[in-house]
Amino acid sequence: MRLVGRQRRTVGAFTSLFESEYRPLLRIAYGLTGSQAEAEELVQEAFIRCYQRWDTVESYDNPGAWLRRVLLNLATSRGRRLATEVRALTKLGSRRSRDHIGPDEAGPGDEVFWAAVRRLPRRQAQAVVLYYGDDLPTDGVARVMRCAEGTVRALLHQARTGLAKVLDPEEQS
Amino acid sequence: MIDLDQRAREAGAGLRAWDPSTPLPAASAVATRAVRRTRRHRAAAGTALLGAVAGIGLMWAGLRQDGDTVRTGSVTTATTDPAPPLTTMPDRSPSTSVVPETTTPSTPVGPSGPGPTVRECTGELGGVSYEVSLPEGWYVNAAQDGVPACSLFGPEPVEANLAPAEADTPSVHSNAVVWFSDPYPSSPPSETFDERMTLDVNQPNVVDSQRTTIDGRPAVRIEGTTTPGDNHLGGEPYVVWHIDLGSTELWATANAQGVSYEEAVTAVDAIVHSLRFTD
Repeated sequence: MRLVGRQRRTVGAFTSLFESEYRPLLRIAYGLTGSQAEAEELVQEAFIRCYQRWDTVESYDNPGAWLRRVLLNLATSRGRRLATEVRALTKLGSRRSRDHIGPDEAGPGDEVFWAAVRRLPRRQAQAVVLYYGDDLPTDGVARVMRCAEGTVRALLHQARTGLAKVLDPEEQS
Repeated sequence: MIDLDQRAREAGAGLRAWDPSTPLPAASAVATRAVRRTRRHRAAAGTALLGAVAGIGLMWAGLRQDGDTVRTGSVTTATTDPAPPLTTMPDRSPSTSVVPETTTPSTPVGPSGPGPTVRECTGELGGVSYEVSLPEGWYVNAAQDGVPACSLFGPEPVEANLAPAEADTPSVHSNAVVWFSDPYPSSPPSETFDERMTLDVNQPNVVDSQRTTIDGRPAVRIEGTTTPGDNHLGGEPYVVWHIDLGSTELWATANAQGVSYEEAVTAVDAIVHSLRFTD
């Protein structure tokens, strides 16, 4: 199949974005889900939506921020779906809880930390994954999360406080 | 005391250094999936349009055959999903009482009084109060720590046991068949209800979805099949109602415990349609 000039440019630009952003997005998704398989599914879904809207996305200053925002929405929706399924599958004395979802065996280092992050309120967890996991500055996190930079700082502060209670035995006592 | 910021930075560095074992998929494969999906959506939209046109044509033909008879009713569009409905939906007319009337007086549920003679109860989720009618002979829960009154329903006396708290959803073990819950007890969602529903109904495991209103509030009924998990094989059907409460949602789900799945779905649909918001 021969590609005309515009199609070739589209595929080329999309491939370039895909290759540069796939791994970082996969790590964000992993931080939010704790499952490599789920993370791969979410990232590919984000890129599918990106390609479907490529004419618009291509014109953005920072398509990576748009991809991250789509990814956060997809991860949120996934969490809601899983919670729904948990509720739908509830049985007396036998319940599939969100704690049992992931992580995969061969994930990145401090799994205890990321598992604790996933138990935070959703916006706090997103801020932590983007700030610490994706190494975005606070204004970059704010851009992705569509909120004020001060809100990101507050979310990170709340997240650290929440994580300390879980991860620091002295804090609990 | 640990330095949380330092630990978070180290964990973040570990995540960034993580090299997943699977190879990078081909961008062209993802682009191909996107193109195929777009074509499917366009084809489905065309099918729905044809169905609407055919429906209008049939209605017009019926009007002509009946002469002076005037027929009223909505034109339904063809659904793009080949799967048959899981159960017969109850009449959704707001004026229709889902639960048969009886002479038993309505009894608000208090902490001590749920039972089979209770026909209605009042509850509150996300700061919004509601009234609901129960199927005949059904039970409802009383309030207890972490479980609001009038949120669990079943044909047997409802038991609810709290498990250790999880992330942002209270962990409750219960034999209830129909559950009401607030999915955002601690962190209100940032997206609008419509944005959330657009995401939810487009999930690959969703079999069918219907947008409607419940007592004037936007609502979406979603039928899906569960995805594989560690305690089950997946593929089990489920129904969830999302009702917009403003800052949060009311979720109503059905669990086939002691009843068939069809009975559970009929019950959750009936209970949801009986909802009356009092705020």
